[in-house]
Order: sequence, then structure tokens, then C-alpha cells
Amino acid sequence: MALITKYDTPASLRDVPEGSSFYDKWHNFVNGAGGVSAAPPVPPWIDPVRVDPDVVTVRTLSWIGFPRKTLTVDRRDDRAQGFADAEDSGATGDWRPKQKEYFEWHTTRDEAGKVTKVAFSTETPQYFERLAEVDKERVLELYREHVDPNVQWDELVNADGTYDRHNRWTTTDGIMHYVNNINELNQAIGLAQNGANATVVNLADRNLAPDRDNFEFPVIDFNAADDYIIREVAALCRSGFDVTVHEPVGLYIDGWDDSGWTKPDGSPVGDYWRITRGRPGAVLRLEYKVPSEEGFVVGDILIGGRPVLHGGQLAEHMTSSLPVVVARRSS
Amino acid sequence: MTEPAAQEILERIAAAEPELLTGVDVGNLGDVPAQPGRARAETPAERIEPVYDKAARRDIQANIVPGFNKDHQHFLFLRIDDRKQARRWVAAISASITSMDEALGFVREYRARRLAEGVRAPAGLTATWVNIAFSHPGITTLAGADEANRFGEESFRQGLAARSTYLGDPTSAEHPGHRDNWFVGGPDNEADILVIVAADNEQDLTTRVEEIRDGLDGLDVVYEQCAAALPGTLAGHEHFGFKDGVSQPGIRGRLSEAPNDFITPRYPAAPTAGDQDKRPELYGKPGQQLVWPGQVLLGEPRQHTENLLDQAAPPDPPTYPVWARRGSYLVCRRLRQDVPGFWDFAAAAATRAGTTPEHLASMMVGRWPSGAPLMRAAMADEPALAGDEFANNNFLFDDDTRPLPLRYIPGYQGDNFPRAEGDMLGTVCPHYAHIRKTHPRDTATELGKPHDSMLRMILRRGIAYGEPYLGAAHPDPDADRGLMFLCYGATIEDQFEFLTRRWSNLPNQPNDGGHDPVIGQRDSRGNRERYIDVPTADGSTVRIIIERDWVVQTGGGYFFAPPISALTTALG
Repeated sequence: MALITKYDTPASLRDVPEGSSFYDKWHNFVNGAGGVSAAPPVPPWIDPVRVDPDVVTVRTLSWIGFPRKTLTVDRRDDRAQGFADAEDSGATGDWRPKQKEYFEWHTTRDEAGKVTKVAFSTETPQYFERLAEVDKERVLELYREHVDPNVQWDELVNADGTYDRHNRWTTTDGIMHYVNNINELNQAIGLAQNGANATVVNLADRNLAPDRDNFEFPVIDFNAADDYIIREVAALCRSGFDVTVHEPVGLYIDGWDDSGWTKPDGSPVGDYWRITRGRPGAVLRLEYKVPSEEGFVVGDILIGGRPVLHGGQLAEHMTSSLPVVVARRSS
Repeated sequence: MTEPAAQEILERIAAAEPELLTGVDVGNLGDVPAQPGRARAETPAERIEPVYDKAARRDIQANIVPGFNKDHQHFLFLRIDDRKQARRWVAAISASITSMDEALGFVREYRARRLAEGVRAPAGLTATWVNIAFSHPGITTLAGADEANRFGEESFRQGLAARSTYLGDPTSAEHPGHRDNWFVGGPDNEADILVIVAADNEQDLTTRVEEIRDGLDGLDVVYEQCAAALPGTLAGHEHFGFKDGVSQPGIRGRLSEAPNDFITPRYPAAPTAGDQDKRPELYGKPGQQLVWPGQVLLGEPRQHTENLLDQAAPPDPPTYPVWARRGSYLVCRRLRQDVPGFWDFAAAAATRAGTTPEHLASMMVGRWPSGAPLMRAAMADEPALAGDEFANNNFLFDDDTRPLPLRYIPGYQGDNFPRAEGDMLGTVCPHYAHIRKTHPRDTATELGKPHDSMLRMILRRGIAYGEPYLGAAHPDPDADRGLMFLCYGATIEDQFEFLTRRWSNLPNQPNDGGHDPVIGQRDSRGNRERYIDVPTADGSTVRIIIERDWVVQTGGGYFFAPPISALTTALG
């Protein structure tokens, strides 16, 4: 018996009817090259397609949504500039190079430049590429529903007709999914696998014994997510547990904290969050917009007494996550 | 009055006798006496730590480093009435401000005698000290808006009242903790200046406070608060009964080029060549993480964001006025404590979790009332462990804590207490425990590696105020008692506010398991409910909801403690 017989879509989305070949494509993607089962199943990492582990608990690995490097390293002494930096769209103008925490967002402003809406996503381009192979109409519908009703199919594809993961509606003019190449589901899972493997080898120097604690563990990156995922899994495995992914495998928006956010009159903000993809506990897309009847917009809100000028100010109070299964060590 | 079960525990805590180290010789300069063949080699990181010579030490206020740590303190919150007179008063009092240089010698002698004699307070060693700090409006009045606005720390410029609900304080003006109801520091009663007076005995304190009060010129007293350590064997404990301030970061820096002449003494033996163990260079005392001084003092080398042991340059260009270098931000929070409320909760929750109230409450704190950490004494208090300053802070949370060889310390018998074992799932010291939330040590957090956690450390300088509940024959359960929480840091937002908002107030950071049940606040659109997931004997957890506030904010402020030289230049 195995824990998983077929990988489900993130948040168990059903964008196309059950039985569609899309679901096989997604399973093969997760299970295939670069996916969960790509590396040999070396304990303490478990391949859930082959093994049914003795589950102890599910642990939600969660980290800050706003890029740590921008906040803590590059703009350690100028937080306000950091929020502006995070909206950088790169030299080509069609990606989000600063948004590296498996968490991306797009800020919408009115003509006066005031923030009116912020949309956050943890969805992957691979999902939409596979969906487009099966059902172009559905992809177009999703863009029209979530990004803009005026989206046209030819705006979403390359010259050869394949899905363009850097199309304008998920870069400059909106967001449907990640466009920063570092934000890959496989990358996050690979970090977890490496964390497990680090229990038997020293990642920094193979001539040395495996690291004994998180102080000895080598620094992976400036990012929060990478260092967090690999260390947390490594520490679990050093403690005698096996680890694997949790179904439905995905990267999720885990938390958002709007305490201390105030309306223009000083009273606490209402609940302006809207889950638009996924479900509570497995959120893939979240939007923040003030209902029109309130008479003000996001840019009028104060966070700890400071006006919202950038979507990143919201992202600082949000977390994204990768749930994993913690199991008793297999013999 | 508390439930009978809780009352019994309070009586036991009040009657407990501490077990202190005795006969230990750490010398009077913070270094151990040189022993032939037993000299400690300095590490590469230590050799490049900045030297704070006498001139520098005389410029830094003492409550920042090494800290007053005195049993009697008085806080005068002042409002400037007349700028000219107030500047003159600031200049005049500058000669009375206690410096790091003056306090360091005293503190070292005090500590050496304490460890040698096995007492908490060596006889005949007394001093009375004064420090001062200014709010942003205070600096604006005294030095002008241009100077005041050179402070890049936005939270400081905004002030505590403006940041109150961001810290989880009540949003309803009906709540006693709402900023409108504060004794000081609310929207209409913010102080410009905070004067801290500290003494080893009450009479000396009273005399010095009266002198200062009588000499005020161009200043009004907005509020004042007397504070004192709890009496007898409870000294150093807060009102709930737990030893406070056991774990503090150590500040890197030297007093001279002489070997091992550090602000924070180093006790681990020098690392062995080729050993990847970083702890000998990371710790002062075992478990006491060393941070670069710029984490507390503006303009000094600060902690590197990526490397545990390395320094990073101070902000360039400076994010503060030139005259503010070697000053520090001071956060003051007047926290009222509801002792019966805390223990009644512990008693009721213990029943649900199948343990004792004392154990349940200790799981809320992470230490037993004596100060012994759960990580090294899982099921019962261990006063001897609490009293051993080379052992009571020596533990990790995630991994097994390996033995750490120490340099030769005459008279010290070694750390022979049970070692801490890794507790990844928080079954011994729960993830919600106050000490695990606010100082996660080796744990990876939502900011990644534990190196980042070193950027969050603060120097705490709190002291209890109000009539004791513990040990009193007929305590008034509704009396105003609590903690004057004070902490210093080089930023407010990335240190105090980060610790409060992200780690204490969120149930899933730095690890999932509940809110910090001691100081955690939560106010989501008026809902102040919090929870803890208490581990039980069968390996499961039981979620217990916290509906009552047993720590309520009743005042405070954001201040800046300048270098003493600024009192006769920019500010006076």
C-alpha cells in the first residue's frame, strides 16, 4: 500500500471535469522528473507513491510572504524603499524578480496612483501550461474570471500557440500564477528532500560529519523559504522522523494578519480578504479589496499608522506554506 | 481569590528557597584568574571585536549595558513645559547620568562576590544610579524638528500610542488596556522625557528621586511609577511567580586589547581546530548568544544577516543624527498583571490537559518558577539547575544539546544536570511557551535560518511594580501590580515590535502551537480570543482557549536613550 496512489491538484482544484486527461498530466508532472518521486526514495525522505508511512502529524512549514532579502538584507535600513523595490518587474518588464518566497502579488492602482486592490497567488505556471494543453477555453475563462474580463486568448499564447507563462495578464497587468522562475513547486519539494538527505551527508563539505544542529547547518540562501524548508525537514529527520509531502501537494497561502490595520476613521478594518482560488486551509489565490460601500480604498488604510502605498506592505503580514507529513522512522 | 489548587502552588512558590552557586571564582574583571597552562586562546571573531575604551564607556548609559539590575527603581515621566529651562535642566543633570563605565565595575564586583559567597545580594555593596531617555516629541522640542526627523526609525517617530493596536493592544476604548486609558503614553499624556532612578536600597532611591523632583525646571511630572523587586527569596521573580530575565543576549565588544577583556565574559573553552561546532564562538555563558553591539547601540558594528559570527557595517548613511551614535532606543510598557486570573486559568487548563497547575503554568512560560528550563527539567522544578548560571540557559529546542567544554572556572563543579534532548514537536517545552516564542534559539523560523533571529534580540531591563501577591497574607486580588517592561535595541520595529507582533501574537510563528500565553496579545476586530495547544501524556494535544487578559497594557512610551555627551550638546 502507498500513502498516495495519484497526486491530486493543489487544493484539489477541479478546473476541468473529473476524468479529464489533465489530472493524469498533473500527476505525472508531480511524480515525474523533478517531482516528488524523482530522487531515489532514500530514507528519511519517503516516496508516498511507494510507501505508506506511520503518520505522526502534519506539519505546515510556513514562512513570510514578503521577500526576506529585500526586507532584511537589501533594505535593512530603508523598509519603505524595500516595499517599492518588491514591485520591480525586471529588465524585460515581464516578471517579478524580487518576489522569491514562493509568493507573488500584483498591485492595482487607480488613476491617482492609490492602491485599490492587491491579488496574491501561489499557483504555478506548470499547472496552467498543462491545463492549456487540455482545455484552452477553461484557461481563458479563469483569466477572465480572476484577472480581467477583457482578456483574449491570443494574449495568453506564444507565436507557436503554446501557453506563454509571461503573458501580460500575469505580469504587468495582473497575476494568475508565479512568473519568477525560482518559485517552483519542484524546487520547494526538492529543498525538503535535500533537508532529509542532509541527515546522512554534510551539505557543505562531504568530508565532514552531518550537521548536528541548525547553527552548524550551511546557509542556503538569503530567502526565508529555502533556509526554512530545508532546515526544518533536516531537524525533523535528525530527531528520528521520516518526512514526505502532504496531499494535496502544493504551495499555499497560509496566513494573513490584519490586526492593527485601520480605516480612515481609525476603527479596525473589516474582513476585506477574499479567497478566490483554493479553499480555507489550502488557499491558492487571495484578493484584498475594500467593498465599494465602505467609501474608501486599500490605499486609504493605515497599517500601524502608515498608509498602504505598496502591495508588499500587506505581503509582510502574510505567510505561504508547504505542508509535510511527519512519520515514525521506517525500519 | 484563586482556586484552592492554585493557591497552594502560590504558597509553595513563595516559600521555595533558591539554590545558588557558591565558592565560584570568576574574578572581579569578568575574566577568570589566569592559571598556568590554562589560558584561554581568543577566537578569530573575538579578536576583531570593537574596543570600548574609557571615553566610549563614559558616553554610553549604564542601563543599556551592563544594565541597572537594581532592586529598587523609580520612573519619572516628564513633559517639557519650557524649552529653554528644560534644555538647561538636561545639561545640568548630565553630570548625574550613570555611564557604562561606572556601572560595569560595580556589576562585575557584585557578580563575583555573589558567586563566591553564594548569596543573591552581597552585603555592603550599594549604589544609586540615574539614566534618561527622550521621546520623539521631546527631542523635537529640545533639538528641533530637523534633528528629530533624522531618526530613521519610523516607529520611534510615530510613538507607542500610534502603534498600540498594531502590537495587539485592545481596539475598544472600553477595555482598560486601550491606549486612551493609559496612565502615561496615551494620545493625550505622552511623556517627553523618562528618567530612571535605581538603587540597592529604598531609602537611597527615595532621597535621589526627591532631589531630582525638586530640581525640575521647565518640566512637569506627567506620571511616576515606583518599582521594586519582590521581597525575600522571590527577588528577581515577576508577580506570577516565575524568575524573570534569566536569558539575555551577550554584547560583543572589548574593554581593552588585553586578552579576554570583554564586555561579556566568555566561558566556553576555545574551539578545537577543524571542529564545526560554532558554539564556543557563539556563546558567552553556555546558551548566551553573543550579538554585535550595533544591535543595541546605534552606529556600531552590528549582526550580519547571514552569518552567525560575523559583523555587518552600521547604516551608511546613518539613519540617526550624528550626536545619537552609541545611543539606544528604549521601549517602556507598563504591564498590569492579574495573578489570580493567570493561576486560575492554569488550574482549570491543567485539569483538561491531565497535569498539575504548576506544570501547566511552567509550560506557558517554558521555565519552572525557579527559572529552571523545562528543556532540562521536564517534569519537576530543579532549583539547583535554576541557580547555576552556567547551566540554566544551556539548551537548544530542536536538537539534542551536546556537552560544551568550558574553560577553567575555579570552584565550579561543572554542569552535571540532565542534558536537553531535541523537542521538535514541542512535547516538553511547547511551541507556545513564552521563552520558545520570543527566543527560538536554534529553531528555523518564518524568516529562515536562526541567524535571522539574532537580529531580533533585545536587552530586557524590566522590574516588578505594585504590592506582591505571592507571599502576602491577605493579598488584594484586584490591586494594581505588574511589570515595568523595558528593553533596549537599535531598532524598535525589527526587534521589539517584531517579537511582539509576529512571534508572541501569532499562533503559528515561529512554530505552530498557539499564542504566547504570557505576553501575547490579539485583537482581530475586537475579538481577543487566543489559544494554546497543550501537549498531553498520550502524545496528542488539547486546544485551550484563552479569553481573559491577565497582562494588560496600562502605559509606556517609545524613547531614545542618547549618549551622555548629547545631553550637553544637542539636547541641553
